[in-house]
Amino acid sequence: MAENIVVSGVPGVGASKVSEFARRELGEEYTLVNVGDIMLQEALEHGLADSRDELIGLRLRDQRALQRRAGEQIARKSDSGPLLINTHLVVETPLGFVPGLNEAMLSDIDPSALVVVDASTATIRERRERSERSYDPFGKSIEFHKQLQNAAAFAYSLQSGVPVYHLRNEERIEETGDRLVTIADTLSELSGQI
Amino acid sequence: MRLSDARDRFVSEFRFPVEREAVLETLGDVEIEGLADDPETVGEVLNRAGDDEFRSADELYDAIIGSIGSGYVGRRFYDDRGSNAGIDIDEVSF
Repeated sequence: MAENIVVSGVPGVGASKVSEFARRELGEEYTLVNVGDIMLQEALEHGLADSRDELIGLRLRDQRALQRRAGEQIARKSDSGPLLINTHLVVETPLGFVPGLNEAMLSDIDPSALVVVDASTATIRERRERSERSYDPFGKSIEFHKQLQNAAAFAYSLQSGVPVYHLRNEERIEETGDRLVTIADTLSELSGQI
Repeated sequence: MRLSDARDRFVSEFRFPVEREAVLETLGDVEIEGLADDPETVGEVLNRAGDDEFRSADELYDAIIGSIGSGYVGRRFYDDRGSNAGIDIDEVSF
């Protein structure tokens, strides 16, 4: 049975790199999926945006439509094996903070766990400054974003009945990635016992 | 390879930073599907980008998007009569 794991964190915390490390360690059994990549592909195909920056500035109804399509694609990918799904539980847009998942998408993804990658606000700010990726100029409310993300994680947990894991990512990516691998292994073992 | 599958491929194939030549050697002939009737290869797309090295999967992915994005956007399903470009009526059924 596929054990899909949603891995999330506010931009700059390192959730993508943690997911990538865990994917390498877990090997071919797992596939890494980035929800933003799928939404961007759908946006390109439908003429809605041609870059990640444009994606975040889309109208909310367009973003919701892309989320639905992403959920459908993920559901199909899940038929081939377990997924590490890297996404944002809360997205900061020029219009304000919006949910990164909706009910239909959560149902399609059908996760076995929600993993929140976390770090201090100072660490996240420092990583953003050092990153090769430019961050949105309106993305200054890191602390508030983290609070919303944690609330969203438990709201999604209530909705889907799956546990939330908290991974501190203050030091080495490898250590945090190893803990994500342990979560995946544990879920896989538990699944085998059912 | 669809764009949405590219990141998993990058992560499984490369250790970052990775040089552009290494990417071309491994994935240069792989076609990027889904965006045009006549798909381009990773090599053709990367040859339009100026980068010699990619520090992360993000950077490699963004280089590819940056090279294909404006060339393809809106050419397949574009509808200028409103937002969504047909996406609402183009739902997938199982």
